[in-house]
Amino acid sequence: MLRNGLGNLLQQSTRLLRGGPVQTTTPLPDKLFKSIELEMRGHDPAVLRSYTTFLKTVCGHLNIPQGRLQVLPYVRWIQYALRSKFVHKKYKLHYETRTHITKFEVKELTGSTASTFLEYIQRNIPEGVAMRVGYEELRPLPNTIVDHSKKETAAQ
Amino acid sequence: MNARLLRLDRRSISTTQVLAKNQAGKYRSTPNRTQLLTYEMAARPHHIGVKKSWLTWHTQNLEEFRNQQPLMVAQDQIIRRFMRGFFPNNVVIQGEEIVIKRRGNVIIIAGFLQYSQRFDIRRIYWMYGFVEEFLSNLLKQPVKLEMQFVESEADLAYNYV
Repeated sequence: MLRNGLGNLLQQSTRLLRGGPVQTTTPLPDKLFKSIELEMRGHDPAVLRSYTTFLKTVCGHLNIPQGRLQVLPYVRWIQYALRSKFVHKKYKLHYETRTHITKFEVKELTGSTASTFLEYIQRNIPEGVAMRVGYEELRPLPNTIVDHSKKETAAQ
Repeated sequence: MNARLLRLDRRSISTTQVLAKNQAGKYRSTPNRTQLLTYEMAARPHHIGVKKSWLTWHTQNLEEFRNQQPLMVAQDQIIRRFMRGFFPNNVVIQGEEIVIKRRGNVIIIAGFLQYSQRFDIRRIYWMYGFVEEFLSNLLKQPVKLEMQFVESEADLAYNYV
């Protein structure tokens, strides 16, 4: 359930260590995230509200710049039951399940900060609240494009 | 009657066309006001989400997170039946005051138990440990008990009807 989709630097370093003789490997540069968006879903809006106050205080204490907070309208799933045992299709009992959605954005993080922050938040998530994480990562251009543009400028 | 024992008609959405849903979760008033109601029982089913909260907390009923709904239902039933069977004298009102929470992989069983007959602390601790070990092995997930003991059912009364 602590699914951190950002790629674990620890895993990469152990993979490097497993291969045969000891090699001096350069440490991988830390990832850079332009924004990380957390989407929380739950049945109880009060629980989600208290979790968002927790997130805001965590960001305040750890000096993580907050983005926008969006409270989306709830999604309904309706299934009825017939009120009577026999006949009377016109009269039903209405049952629905409501899923409340809240989005919380956090800006300008490094990979290590992000993994620590998400680990802490996911360990303290209340029961009945589900979280989905989406991120925008900043990456350097691939080598093929960089070399090609260099060649073009050299040719000019 | 069977549906009432299983408690399926109280918390989950039923896929059958007709169950006794007009009567489920509702208690009739008695002439001498002998029917004890806890807060949970006093609030009608249409107050769920307003005055009343759920007895199980998991994420498998949420939109786009539904992978293991039947597993949760089955696990809940196993837990509730086990609690009712293992603490026959200690359970309050046929095992209704039990809340099941799921945080990650851990199942936490919270609620009220009564000690009206005998208050043997060593016995209770032993039973606690047994329940945790047994259910952890059965459900293959860490199970924790967080029960609160109350002298009798009357301590949980909200009103008499």
